[in-house]
Amino acid sequence: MNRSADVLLSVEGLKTHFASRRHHGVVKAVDGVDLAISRGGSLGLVGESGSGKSTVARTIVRLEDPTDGRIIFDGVDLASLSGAALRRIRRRVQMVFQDPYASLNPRMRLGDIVAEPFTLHEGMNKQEAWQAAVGLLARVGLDRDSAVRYPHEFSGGQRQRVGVARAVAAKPDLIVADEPVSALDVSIRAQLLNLLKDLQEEFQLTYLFISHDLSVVRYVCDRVAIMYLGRIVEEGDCDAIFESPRHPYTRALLSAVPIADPDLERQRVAQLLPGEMPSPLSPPSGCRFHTRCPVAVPQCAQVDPPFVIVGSGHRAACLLVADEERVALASVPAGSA
Amino acid sequence: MTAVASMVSGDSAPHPATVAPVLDVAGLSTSFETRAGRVQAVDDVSFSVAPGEIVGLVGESGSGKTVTSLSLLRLLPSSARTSGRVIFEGRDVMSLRGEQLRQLRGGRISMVFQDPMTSLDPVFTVGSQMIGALRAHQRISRSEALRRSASLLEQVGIPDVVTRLGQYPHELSGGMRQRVLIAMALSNDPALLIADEPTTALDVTIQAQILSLLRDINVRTRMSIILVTHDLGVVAGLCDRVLVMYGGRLVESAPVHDLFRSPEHPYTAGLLNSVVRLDQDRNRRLSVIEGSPPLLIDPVPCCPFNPRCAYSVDRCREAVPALTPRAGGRSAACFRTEGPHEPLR
Amino acid sequence: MALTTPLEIPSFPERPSFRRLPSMRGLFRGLFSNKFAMAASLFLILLAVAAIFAPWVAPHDPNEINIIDRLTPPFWQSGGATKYLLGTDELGRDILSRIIWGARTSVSIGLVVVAFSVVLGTAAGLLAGYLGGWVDTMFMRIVDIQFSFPSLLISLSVVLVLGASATSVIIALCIDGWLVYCRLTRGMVMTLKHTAFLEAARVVGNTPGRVMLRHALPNILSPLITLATLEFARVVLAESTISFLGLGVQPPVVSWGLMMNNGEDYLTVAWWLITFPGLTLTLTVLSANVVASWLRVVADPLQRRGSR
Repeated sequence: MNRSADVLLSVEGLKTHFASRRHHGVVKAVDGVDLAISRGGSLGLVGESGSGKSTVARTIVRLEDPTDGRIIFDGVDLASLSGAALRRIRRRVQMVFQDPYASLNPRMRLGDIVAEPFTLHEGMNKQEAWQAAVGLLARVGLDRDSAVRYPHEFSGGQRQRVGVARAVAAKPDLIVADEPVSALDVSIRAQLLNLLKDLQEEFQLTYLFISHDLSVVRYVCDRVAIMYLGRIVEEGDCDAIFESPRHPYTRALLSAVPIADPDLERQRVAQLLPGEMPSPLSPPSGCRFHTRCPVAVPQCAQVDPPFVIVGSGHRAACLLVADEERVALASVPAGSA
Repeated sequence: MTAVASMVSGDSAPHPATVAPVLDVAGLSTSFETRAGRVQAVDDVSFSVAPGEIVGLVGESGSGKTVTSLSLLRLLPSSARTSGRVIFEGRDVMSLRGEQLRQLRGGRISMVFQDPMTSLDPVFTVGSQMIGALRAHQRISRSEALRRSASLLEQVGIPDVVTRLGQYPHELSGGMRQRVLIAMALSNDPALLIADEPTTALDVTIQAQILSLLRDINVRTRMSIILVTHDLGVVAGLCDRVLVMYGGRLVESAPVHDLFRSPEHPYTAGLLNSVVRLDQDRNRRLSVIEGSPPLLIDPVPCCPFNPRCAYSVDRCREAVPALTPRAGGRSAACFRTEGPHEPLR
Repeated sequence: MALTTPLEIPSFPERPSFRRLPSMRGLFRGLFSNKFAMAASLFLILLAVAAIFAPWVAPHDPNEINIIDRLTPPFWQSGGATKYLLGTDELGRDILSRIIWGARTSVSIGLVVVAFSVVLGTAAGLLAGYLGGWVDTMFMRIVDIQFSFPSLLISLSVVLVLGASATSVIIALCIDGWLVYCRLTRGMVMTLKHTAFLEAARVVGNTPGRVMLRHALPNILSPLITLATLEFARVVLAESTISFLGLGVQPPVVSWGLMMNNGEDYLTVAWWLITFPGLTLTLTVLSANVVASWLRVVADPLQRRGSR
């Protein structure tokens, strides 16, 4: 996959820090993140709570202000925009929220919720926007007469479809989906995921897909980045990452995900990490993962590991990978990595 | 350092037929009176749990699995009407009164709930809550209770026990709190632990730790566990037998391998097919179960899954199928499977 | 509900014009079940009718002086007459008519003050709560400072400076009438700011103004309406107090407060001069409080999630 071709979103050195009055410190939720998504592609951003993945998503759509770094969207640095300029570019970067019970205005009818982007960005009048909205609601699988009703009359899965319709209405280029199926029942998830994939093809969308659920990410995305404590620790094509993870955290994460197959599941050796993720208020020195890492060496506590290319479009930030791979790569003929 | 634990499949669960079950539920039904009508949350559920067995109670929201687990210990609000028999160690829980019921809860049967954030009292230290749990059931001194609490916390893998005992719940992380709750649940050597979505609110690496802990305890103490969950992966790894609930009814019961390999009930099959797996083929479309789960208000006398079932026949609209036993310790509530039929997967 | 095929659906229903407020039917059903609230609402409606239709409803001209009929007792007492149902005052003016015209004064002053306060206070609260930062600090300082002065004293000072009249009463009451709305709105907006749908409104591309008015405001209306009802009662009471002290509305404008001021001197000989206006005032304040309590209870079920 040619990564340099037509990059739609390029995040460079992104940092988002919050001052915490309660703890008298700075929460470094995102502490130096680089990523890139090609037009039409879908990047999954995976991590556990405290990893900063949601903050990355929120910073990109400017719900939070970045402390440092650039967010280059189609040549424009979103981090530097504000006011009307930001609003204008908003039509191209939309978001699907996690909680279907909180992401729709309870006082607005579904039709009005979905019609709003049409009036704001396409200059339609009320009637036109309404009709466009009804059409879009039908496209995402809701009845035509659902447009006049209120969110509380619908189930979680249906509400989430409305959220997706709202995001898609203004024909954005990029959709940031923040855990869009985590709050849904298992059998409803499949419906939503199919919808998201269909819409991506139909409207030529690019996705940044945030999730803690690796299985979902594997299904929806072509590339994935794993986050730990504010940084990306590994990134690459989904197949590469899931089949041969290089970073110890990625390996532990993959081994911990339960598979719905008793034969497979009971054969696996679950690699249990000790303890919990440290607080973003005071990340560990050197490699942030070293306090829980099963293969850490003394140097890991002192040196912040840089990224190492471990395959085509595949990088990992681990000192030990560097050693292994340097040896392995050295023996590979030039031009094939 | 890594604590490598292998999840080994059990020869651990004895065959249910040969040993007296520790819990025998017959015809359990629970309904609530609401302004909108009568909600039949649990409808004629029957199952049993053998000593040392880990049983998974699986379903989505609205299936009735949580209400079932709460009904077992009669932890429901007064607007609930429960009927049926719940025989535990020879006594019917439904007929127990006051002091006897109180002794049972947290004693021979204990429970762990979903949200560790709110299950602990924020104004008492961990130590005092654990001591309270112990002394509610055993006549021991405070110092003895403290000593046992420390030992319990060690057993659940909490480091630095002395400090933890003096801490308040808000000073602990989610995974730590859940361990404390499990320790409290174990404090009086229960024969049965009911765990209602114990890891749903936790990160996946922490979940792995907690599940491994539960497996350890089960192997060590032969304590039975009823694990209520919607996560089929968790069930696949931990449970010996699986009960599938839908629309307030028990639709299938089977040993875990049999359930996943050859489900008998269309809902089970649909659910298994729609789960997104780690080894999912990205290019194959996910199969879905069309429609939404039923509202449990004023139930109609037909199969609850009928509106969404791809295999339904006329009879499915007219009567409610009963959970009928089949070979190999399985049962399913489906008219289709009563005669000869094609496998679903 | 399977996914539909590409759009060949020919025409869509037109956007219906919707009523602004949610269904009132539920409200009325609730009203009938609560006797107190029903009685209170009826009283307030009666008051409104009296206020609007005073010239036609009042049996006499409230300022018509009839020295011959002065100090006539209410009709059920000896010496009373059905001509003057509630009796007359020291100048022979019909008490009932004066109460009806007084209603007009109180209700109109009450409505004007509440309307102004709601608009100003809500706007300030929206800005302070949503924008935060220096805007919030500025408004909150103003509110805090004003709250620390006793409101009656401020009102009286204003009236003294401007001279007693209905207008100066209105101005005086507006000066600190807006404070409570500001605080309430600000608090609610600050909570609402972090809900997903409000963030979604921002991400979709709404201007801050639209977010505040189109998305935040409809969700905080219920508590505001309850507060406005209570405030109405308070304003009516305040106006009566000021007028009672002689510093409010002046004759020929009629006010319950003024009537009570008059009637004070005749308490021992003609109890009805002060009692009826006082009773009416009490009933007004009581009714408004009852309706406000009931509104607060009723507002929740209307928002409650019906099904899932």
